[in-house]
Parts: sequence; structure tokens; C-alpha cells
Amino acid sequence: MEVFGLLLNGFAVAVEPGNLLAVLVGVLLGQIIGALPGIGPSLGMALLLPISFGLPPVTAIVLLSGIMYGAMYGGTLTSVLINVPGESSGIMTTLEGHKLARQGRAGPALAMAAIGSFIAGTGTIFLLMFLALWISKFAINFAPPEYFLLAALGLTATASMGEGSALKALFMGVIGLMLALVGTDPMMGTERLTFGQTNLLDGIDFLPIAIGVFGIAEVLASLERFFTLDPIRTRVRDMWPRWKDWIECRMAIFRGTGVGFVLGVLPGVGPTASTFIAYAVEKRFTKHPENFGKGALDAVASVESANNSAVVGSLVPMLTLGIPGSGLTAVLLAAFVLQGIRPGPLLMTDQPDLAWGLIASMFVGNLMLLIMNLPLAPFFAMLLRVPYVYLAPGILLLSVVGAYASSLRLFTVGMALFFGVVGYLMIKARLPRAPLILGIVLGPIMEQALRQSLMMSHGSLSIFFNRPIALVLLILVVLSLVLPMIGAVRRAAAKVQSEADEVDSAAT
Amino acid sequence: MKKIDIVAALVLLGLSALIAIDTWGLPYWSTFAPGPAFASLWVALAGGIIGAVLLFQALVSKDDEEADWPDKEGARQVLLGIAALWLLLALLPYLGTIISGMLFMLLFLLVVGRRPWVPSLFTAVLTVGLIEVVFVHWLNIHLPKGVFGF
Repeated sequence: MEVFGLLLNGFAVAVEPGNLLAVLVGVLLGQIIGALPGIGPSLGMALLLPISFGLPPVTAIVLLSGIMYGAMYGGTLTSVLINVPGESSGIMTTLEGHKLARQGRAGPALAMAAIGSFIAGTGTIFLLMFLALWISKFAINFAPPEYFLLAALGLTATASMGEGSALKALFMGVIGLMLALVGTDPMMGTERLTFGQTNLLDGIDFLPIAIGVFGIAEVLASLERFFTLDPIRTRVRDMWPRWKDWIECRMAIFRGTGVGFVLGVLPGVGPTASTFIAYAVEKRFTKHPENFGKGALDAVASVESANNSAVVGSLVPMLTLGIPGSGLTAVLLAAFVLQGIRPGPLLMTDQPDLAWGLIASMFVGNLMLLIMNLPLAPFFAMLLRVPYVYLAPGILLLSVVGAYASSLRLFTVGMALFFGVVGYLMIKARLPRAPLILGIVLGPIMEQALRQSLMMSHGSLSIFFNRPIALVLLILVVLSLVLPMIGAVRRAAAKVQSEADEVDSAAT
Repeated sequence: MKKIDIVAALVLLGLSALIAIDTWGLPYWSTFAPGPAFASLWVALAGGIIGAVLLFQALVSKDDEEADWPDKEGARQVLLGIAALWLLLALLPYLGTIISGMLFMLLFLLVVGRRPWVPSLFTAVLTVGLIEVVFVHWLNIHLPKGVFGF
């Protein structure tokens, strides 16, 4: 009952005119950003960070988080109508949704995706509320050893459970940690890795790197081949779902929601991996697995529910422990820090207006997105007709101005451009970018917590073994490092065996 | 991809060595707590190990999947885009945001994108105008003004 009282207070904050406008602007921008290929929510949030400086904390946070979950809705448009995922979490929607569109079923695909996203988004907010309160009460007892290991787990779990090669993800995480070392030592005030540059005394700011690797790099990669998008046309009357579609999809929405939320809570998994797993789960349990790969409506409903619920799930560790589990929540954490607020166990009690205002605003935001996506989706789809070549220089110019606005120094702009080129090379080398951002954000947390832990224990590492929660976290960190290695060794052994079998069969 | 992985590994090994060398002179441990070199040396060690593993993996790998580099036209567009961005940065303090921004947009659309004049000019004016309204007039952020005062 305490929860509902807090939620009501949160609604009182969320419906204040300034905050309501921020929710609307945030979800609208998120919808547009998600719909346009080549622009991701990470860039949108990073570019709006300087703008959010001048806003009250609640308004700034609801604006930025609106972009985060709004983009999940918007990405469906481009996935279904153009066969291009607006975000990496839209790959499975593209696989099934565009096939449905080619069968003349774009309307039901978009409608069920919107309904699934709404149900998943709002349903999991209730889970977020109860889980956040419980974790906050539990985590009050956390001390530096637990925070160090949580931050380490955020980094190692991203490597083992995120997309692509675990080794390359760890590679980028370490690069992020290296960048976080630059500047002034937080405890002793000594210069470190500045190479005599006064511009580096304050360290390397997170924002120009985020703008560079998420924004400028993406646009540079898309310059390789300008493409003309020709979205499939939809009509407003096709957007209303039929009862039959709902019957077909209701269990898929339920399953996708559950899978997405559970995986979203785990640091490092994120919406993209959640959609792949939700797709696999749905294929296992659906009554019509033969439709998968040919345009399965329940597959679309399941993965869209999963990506929305994963976004909500990823807020749990970020709000309650201050540990971002994905690139998106890393940017949101940066927004909190820039507003002078440190997420963690005390956030729910020390900043109830902010915490519960944010939670309540997500209910409002999801409702706005449902309205935008059911009858208004064909109008948003018109955006897809704007040739990308006209958007690209605008995004780049906005990135440059955004980087300048964060510090009023051209050095920051130069850094954003440098990391833009680095980010482009990372895309070519298939090096994941989210671990880099996580490393930069988690690095200072890890260093401070580790040094404080060793101060507490007078230099003894036993502090990480004597505390039960710390020991559990340590085991999880070790497992998250060891399991991918075991997987890699087994795959290599299987490959060697298969090559040996081929040689044998060729010989016989 | 093999060559790219080797280069990436060497870069990480190089960065690890640089960090270790630059922070070698700093105290590893102070009287009561780890010193400034503590974290940097351990991060350098982690980087060295990961770099070595990636290098080994790349050298022994028999897969040689081709990297997805752009074709000649695509490379031209990417390099021109990068050049335009650095030119924008160079011009900002002298010509200011409005003129530099307009030049950048027109250069990009006309030369990189090879678009027609009229829609390019319209897009440039609209984009720079929006940036001025949002950043300068609404948020009161002082963007670079050049020798012309704007």
C-alpha cells in the first residue's frame, strides 16, 4: 500500500505542466529518432544532455527517459515498413514484420507491436516499482566492496551476455576504463595521464565520446552508401487491431514481457539480446512455429513486448544501485550525475519526487505512445520518405553544436570528432561500442569503491570474501569471465573435430 | 578481419604500455590507501592480457572473413564527410556558427551528397535556423561568434 501512495505522489509530480510537456517532447523525439535509421536513442539522449542542464532535475530525467522508451516504439515503423531495423533491437521485428507488410498485413503488425509495447511497458513499470523498493531496502547495507563488484559485474556481464564477441566487448570495456583514468586522481588530486595537457586535467568527459561513437560514427558509416527508402504505405483504418489478432498474440505478449523484463534487469543484456531470446522462446511455445520466418504476427508482438520491457527492466539496477547495464542507461546515469544526483539505494527515499515522478511519467509516456502509434503511425511513416542524405549533415552539425554546448570549448568538439572517427573504425572492426561507454561511466565508480574497500580492510583482499553479498557478486563476476572462455574453447574443439571428421570422410 | 584484429590488439597493447610507463612514477600505495598508480597499473595489466589473447587468437585463426570496407565511392563520401567536419571545427572560431554551419551543410549536400542546389539551400537554412533558435535564443548558450559578430 505504501507503494501506491508513493506512486500517487509521483503522478502529482508527473502531471505538472512542465513535466507533462517534457514527457510529450521526450516520447515524440524518441518515436522520431527510433523511426529514422542511422539515429539511435543513445545519440538522441546524448545530444539532449546539454539542453537538459537548464531544466529542473525531474523534467530533464523524464525528457531523456521518454526518448529511451519512445525509440523502442518508433523503431517498429522502419522495421516493418522498410525492412531496415531502426535500432539493433529491431532486427527480429524486421525479420517477421516486413514479411507481414509484404503480405498486406503491415497494419496488424504495427498495431499489435504498439499494443504489445504498451502492455509490456506499463505492466513492467509495476514490477519496477516493487522491485526497486525491495532492492533499495536491501542495498542500504551495501558498502564499497559490494559497489566495486557490482560495477565490475556490469562490465563483465556486458561482455559475456551482450552481442558479439565477449573478448572484443571486454577489450572495449578496458579501453573505457583507460579513458576514465585520465585527469586528476580522485583521492590524491595528482595529475594522471594528462601528458601535460591542461585541457585533460578535468578528465575526458563522457558526453563528447558518446556523441562521437554513437552519433558521428553512425552517420559516417551510413555515408558509405546513400539509400533511398521506399516504405510500404499503410492506412489509418488498417491500424485498428482485430479481435482475431489479439487472440493470436496475447500469450506472445505475456511471454515476451516476462522474458524481456527478467533479462533487462541483468546488467549487460539489454533490449537487443532480449529480443533474440524472446523470439526463440516464442518459437518454442507458439502453436504455429511453421509461420516463423515467413511473417508471424505473434513473433512481432513477442519481440516488441520484450524490447520495451527490457528497457524498463534495465532501469532497476540503474535506479537502485547506480549501475547502468547498457549504453542507454549509462547515458541516463550521466544525466543524473550532471544534475548532481547519484542513483543508488537512497534515491527512492532521498529524492522521492524524482524517482516516483519518473516512474509515474512512464505510465503517461506509454499511453501517449500508444495513441501516437495506433492511429497516427501512418503520419510518422511519412518521415521515412525524407531522403537520409538531407538528415545526415544536420545530425552531424547538431552533434558538433551539442558537444560545444556541453563545455563551451572547441577542444570538446575536437574530441567528439576524434571519437567519431574512432567509432567508425570500431563499427568496421566489429568492436561493440556500449562497453566503451560503460567503462567510462563505471571506471570512476570502480576505482573509488575499490580504493575505499582496501582502505577499510587495510589492504587485505579478504574483505571481498568475508562479506556474503560481496562473495556472491565476486562469484558472478568470475563466472561471467570464465563462461565465455569455456564456450569459446568448446566451439574451437567442436570445429577441430568437425574438420577432422571431414578429412576422414574425404579419405574414405 | 584477421588484420583488423591484429591491429586492434596491437593498439591495446600499445595503450597498456603507455599507461604503465606514464604512471610508473606515481605512488602505487600511500600511507593508508592505494595511490594514483594503483588503478592505472591494474587496468594496464588487464589491457595487456586482453590484447595478448586477441593477438594470439587472430594469429592462429584460420578464418579470414573479409572486412566490410566501403567501395571507392563510399570511401570518398566517408573521407569527404570527415574532412568537412574538421573544416567546420577549424572555421568555427573565425566565421562563427551561422556561416560555418551553412558552409558545412552546403559543402556536405552539394559535394558529398551531390544534391540539387535549391533543396540543399533550404535544408541548410532550416537546420542552422533551428540550431540558432534552440541553442542561442531558447537555451541562452553562447555558440562561437566569428569576426563578423554572429
